[in-house]
Amino acid sequence: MKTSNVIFKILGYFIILGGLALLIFYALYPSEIDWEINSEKNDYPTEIYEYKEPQSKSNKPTTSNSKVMLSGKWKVAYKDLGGAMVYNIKKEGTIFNAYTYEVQDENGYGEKVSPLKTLIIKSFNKKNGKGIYKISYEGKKYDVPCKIKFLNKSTFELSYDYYGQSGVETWKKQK
Amino acid sequence: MSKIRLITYSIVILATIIGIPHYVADNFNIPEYSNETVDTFFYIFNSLSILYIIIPFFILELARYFFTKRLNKNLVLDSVANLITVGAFGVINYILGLLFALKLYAWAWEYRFFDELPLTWVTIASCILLADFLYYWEHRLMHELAAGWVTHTVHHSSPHFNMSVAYRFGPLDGFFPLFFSIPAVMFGFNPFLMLAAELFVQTFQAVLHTEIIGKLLKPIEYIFNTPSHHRVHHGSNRQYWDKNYAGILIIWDRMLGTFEPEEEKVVYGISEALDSVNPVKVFFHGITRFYHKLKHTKGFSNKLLSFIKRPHWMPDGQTYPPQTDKN
Repeated sequence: MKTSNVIFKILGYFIILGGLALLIFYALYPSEIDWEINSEKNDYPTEIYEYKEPQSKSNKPTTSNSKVMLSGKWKVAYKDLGGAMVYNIKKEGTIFNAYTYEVQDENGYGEKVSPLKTLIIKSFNKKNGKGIYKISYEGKKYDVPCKIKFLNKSTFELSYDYYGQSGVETWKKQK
Repeated sequence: MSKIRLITYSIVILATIIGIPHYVADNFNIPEYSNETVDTFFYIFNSLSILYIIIPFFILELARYFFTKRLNKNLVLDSVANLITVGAFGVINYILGLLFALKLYAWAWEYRFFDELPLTWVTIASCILLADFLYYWEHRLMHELAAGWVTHTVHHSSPHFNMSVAYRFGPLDGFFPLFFSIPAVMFGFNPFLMLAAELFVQTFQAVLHTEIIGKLLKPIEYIFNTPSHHRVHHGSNRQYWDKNYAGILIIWDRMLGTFEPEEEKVVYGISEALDSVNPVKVFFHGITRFYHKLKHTKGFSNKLLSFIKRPHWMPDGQTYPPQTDKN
């Protein structure tokens, strides 16, 4: 093999392995790079077919207010189960997702649980919202369209009606 | 390999790739990634890899052409034509996306057969695996059906083999994958994840378009698609026709009977050389050649059959000299 071929081969390996190492480094430490992702475009909306950006009448973006209102821990009491579940709502891209955070018994003693996406709030105008509630029933999981109605700043009602199965839950914000 | 065996193997592979993430989602509590984390992952490996690997490597290839006295006007103009085709391909894809592809994805997602899979590492890995297997089949059909070869011949028509060739696209190269990725979405893979995974397979494959890297270690060559395997795929040598369709994993070719190792020196291009660096001619030559063949074919049903038969197919008793494309 010619010397020049060997040199180019080594340089080729250097570029591929060096570039790959750099990409892996960036993947492990994404804060180290000055990159910008347009989260509006690259988001992974769960229900893209009916997603609509909430708009206020004044056309001013409501995102920051919505974020303040929705983000954080929310507790839902389940009387039939004799306990409560605390959810953590986070803004991800242009939607809000609620993840399971803590399960509490009837005395209020809590135990942390793995974060499972339970509710996806796709539109919200500071009073009402729409989303998908992920329900498990008899071992099967269902994506149920749901509505959200804010009663006050720290309480909202989540209601759903899906093939005869209906329910209303009261979500209370935790400090 | 018989068609029944081919279909059976493919169904088993698909059921396994789709079944595992659903089984895991139903039975195990695996932490989910946020959308931003997954965005970041694919942004780094799909977009930044062009900046940090593909462009520097192409510059190295140009330097190698220069030192080996192979850098000539034809090669430079061929590379320029490649970049122009990717631009035209991008415009067509953008229009296709706006007109109906995004709507089809949305429709498929709305009427999906299974629940949405959570964004766990199992789902992401399965989605990449699924995108890779679907790529094998879409790629195979683009070679083995005349309607596919009409557009995909553009990618194979360069007599050179470097990273710019990876971006030499035909006008409808973005159309065929829709037949595979849209049904995939119905199995619970988020459409955006599916698209990102497809792009990941394409990006991996782009890096394989080089003559600089020889054969790699045997275990790697056995499992993964490598520059050596992909050189074979681009060969116009008769024994290399319709071989090595893989994107990331060459095991699909080994399992489905289309694997061929690199032995004889590869002659790049198609059997009837294009012999042009005119970007317009490069981009549309598959369509114009097929149009001339259709004009020559007698009988309406025969003309229709020409779309779904192999690229070289002609009805009994009819010939179309000269034999145009490879296959």
